[in-house]
Amino acid sequence: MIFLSIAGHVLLVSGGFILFTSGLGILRMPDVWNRLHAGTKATTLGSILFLAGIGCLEPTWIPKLFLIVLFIILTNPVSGHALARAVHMRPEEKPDNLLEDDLAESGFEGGEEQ
Amino acid sequence: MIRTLTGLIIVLVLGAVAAAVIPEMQMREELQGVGYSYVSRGMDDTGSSNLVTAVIVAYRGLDTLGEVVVLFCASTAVVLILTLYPIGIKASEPSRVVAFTAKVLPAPILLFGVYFIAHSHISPGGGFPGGTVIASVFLLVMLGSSSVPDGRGRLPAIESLAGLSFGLLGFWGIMTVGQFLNNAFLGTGTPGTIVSGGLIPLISIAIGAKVASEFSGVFKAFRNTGGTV
Repeated sequence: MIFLSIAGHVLLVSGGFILFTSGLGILRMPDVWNRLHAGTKATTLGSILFLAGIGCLEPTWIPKLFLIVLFIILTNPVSGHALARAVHMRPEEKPDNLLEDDLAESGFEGGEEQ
Repeated sequence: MIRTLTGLIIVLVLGAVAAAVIPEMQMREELQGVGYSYVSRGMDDTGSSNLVTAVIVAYRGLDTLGEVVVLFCASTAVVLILTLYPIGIKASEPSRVVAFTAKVLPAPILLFGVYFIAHSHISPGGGFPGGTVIASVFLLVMLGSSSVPDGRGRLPAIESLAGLSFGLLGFWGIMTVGQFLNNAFLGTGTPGTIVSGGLIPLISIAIGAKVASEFSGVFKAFRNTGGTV
């Protein structure tokens, strides 16, 4: 039981730390692509770790927490993807040092089979 | 530089004020006045086991009616401005990922929104958040399709009907017991069951329908801003 409690607190703190770095990244990163990275990947991982920590501390809540985690896994990456795609359609956001642009070459930029 | 300094000065002054005031504040250990009466009598008065909803919908129902009117004005203004001065952004094709998500997720989210509204008198929730959740389903479906909604549709009708029913539920109280928005004339039932809380569930449904149709109308106006395809 004590191990579960320690694991729960460690998960809570690490989830909170990752969420903090995500907020810091959104403030400090230089351009929209880096901010997207901080704002989507880190929040997904941070929230999942946080909820896993709650699950360790309150095992009876695990079914509900599992549903919340499932919802975050389904929605957070998709919103990040949609945002990145919307930014990609704006030519002025294109970085100068871009070497390869697979999405533009694939012909799928505007959706299915253009 | 000047901005940073100004910000720093404001923070310091506010901090000093807070440090001077907070120790002097007398935090009461027990509830007083109207708060005490809400908490001690709320469940018997309204039959709602969610006291927040009881206060918002039953005790301060008139204020909520005003809030609904404010929301109506705000959404009407947004739609009006977007119609008069379109931003002119054309809707683009959704990517495969978004289109798939828009097929899978609406049903559970819609269920959650309806649950939120229907259980507003039992568990945390209510018409405003539930209506927003339902409107988010509308947004998701719209983002997952390439079509643009045209000017027709029943959203304004639903919105007006919901607002009207809120007012009529209030007048029902005048007709029966002579008090506008009286909550208890239908009987309040057993707190914690789905049919309880007097008028609260009915008003929650009206608020939910109104908020959902208003936000959906705003999303639709944003989608329409590049003209219909």
